[in-house]
Amino acid sequence: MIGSSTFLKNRNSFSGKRSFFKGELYKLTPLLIPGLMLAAGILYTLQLSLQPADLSAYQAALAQPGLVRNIFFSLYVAAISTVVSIAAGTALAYLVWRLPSAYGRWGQAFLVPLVLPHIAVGFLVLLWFSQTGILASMFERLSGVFPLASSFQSPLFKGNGAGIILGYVYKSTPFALLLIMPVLRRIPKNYLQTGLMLGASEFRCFYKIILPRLVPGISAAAIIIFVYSFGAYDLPFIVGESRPRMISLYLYRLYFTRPIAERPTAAALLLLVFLCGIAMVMLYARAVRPAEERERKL
Amino acid sequence: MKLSPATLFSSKQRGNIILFWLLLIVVILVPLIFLLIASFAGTWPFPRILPASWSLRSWKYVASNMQGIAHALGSSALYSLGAALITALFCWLPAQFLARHTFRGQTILEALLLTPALVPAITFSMGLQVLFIRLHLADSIVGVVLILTLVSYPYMLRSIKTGYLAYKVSYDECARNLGIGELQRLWHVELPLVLPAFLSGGTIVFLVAFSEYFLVFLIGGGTIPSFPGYLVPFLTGSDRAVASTLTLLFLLVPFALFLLQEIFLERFYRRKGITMTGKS
Repeated sequence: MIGSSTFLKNRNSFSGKRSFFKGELYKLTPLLIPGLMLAAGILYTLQLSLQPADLSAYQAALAQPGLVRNIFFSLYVAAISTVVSIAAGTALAYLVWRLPSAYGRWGQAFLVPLVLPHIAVGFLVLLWFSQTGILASMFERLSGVFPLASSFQSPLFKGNGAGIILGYVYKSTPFALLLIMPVLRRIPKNYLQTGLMLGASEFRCFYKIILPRLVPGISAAAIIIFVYSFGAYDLPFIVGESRPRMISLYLYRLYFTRPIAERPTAAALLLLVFLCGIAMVMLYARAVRPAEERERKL
Repeated sequence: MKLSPATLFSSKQRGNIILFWLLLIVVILVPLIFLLIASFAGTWPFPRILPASWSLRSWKYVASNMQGIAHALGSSALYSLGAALITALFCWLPAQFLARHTFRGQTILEALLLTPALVPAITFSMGLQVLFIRLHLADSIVGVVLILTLVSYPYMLRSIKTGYLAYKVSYDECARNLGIGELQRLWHVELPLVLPAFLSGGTIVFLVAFSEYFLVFLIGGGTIPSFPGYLVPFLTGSDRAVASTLTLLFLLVPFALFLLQEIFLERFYRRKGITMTGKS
């Protein structure tokens, strides 16, 4: 087998290491399966978008009514979801880390929403926050006891994306916890103890000692959550409003419910959104690189 | 008074402990309990916090429609399992390579490999759908498995890579020095050490595939039954009892999966006579 021969070569000097690397490059070939699939999907879309062999489909795409509004709406929903779930996830991770390690086991229960499918999270949002939902009932009951100013106003389907944001926050907070927790565990607890002993407040300790060390984990989690909630389909499909519309639902309708002659326009838009997605993935790479380099040095 | 760091550290812990349990109850336990309550609700007129009457109606509904539900559940389990197996197969060697070597542009390459899981799936799946129609893969379980493989393999790749980061090449060298054959080495040395990484990757891939509604609907075209597809009309409909019951069924699947994984790992290691102290 190849292994034993490379083993012998490997005992030599640096050049042996190089040939070990080159001799194993073949191991990357299975990645051609997803790579070719992705390329095929994108190339077909590209070909479709250039159907009249010019950029007219792209011009039409950018002139679509409601496009700018829907893009800004999606960006806004993704941004709020990301900020809230990162803040909540960081706070939760810090809380669990701060407690004795026995609580870490129980803390795993916070990961339950992670295994809930997006459509089920959407249902939970409907169950709790709709105009006749559980919160509305609780509010009505309480208003019999305390004089409350007004009756419960459901935040759903008001055009502000509250339902989608609630769902994403519920689903992404445990995800942020999952990514931030290992980074936090690597920080020795006596850093915090020293800070406290020297008389700094706990908040100051967190802000000055803990938070800077969490930045790599936080930025990786933030970009993943942002890109995902920007373009995912399932949750807005259940709790999303139709005006303004999340970009995924908008693209879907543009592609399937319009005359077939307008397909190139839809394809052009799909491609533009894909390129934006790639740009964000590159941002992710820049965010995780310093963290990985530091890990290698250790 | 002796001021030890331990007492200093636990001075404010009581409040934190209360906060911890409060959050756990409000955010996790209460929604689950209300799902259970809703599934046993008979009539539930609006301003009541709890149902006015209780009934087994929704559970009876599930029982009497068991055939359709089992069909959808089974189909979802099948294509999700398929995705887990295929991703495990083709991520194995690439993950090993990425864990063992460092080279220029590796971070960029690994970020690019994450693309299908991050970039909105709708942007490339629309093109793939047309392609799949031409290749007669649309509306087939093969097509569904392929598209799910595409969007979920990054999780498998990452998981196996993490497993191999802890696996030193010197283990291989040691085994070969002792004169073991390649197959034996794979079975006795490499596999037991990286198996947990494969299983945790497989669990994530299974869950991602099992939860996916849109892609299965797009590529399966409604002819491939799926549990999310079965669920959607109930979730958006007005029958909260049945929707809650079906959602609870949905939750059972991952828990069963984790349990199976634990049992399997334990048995595997016991049979091989390995005691794992720090199981991941």
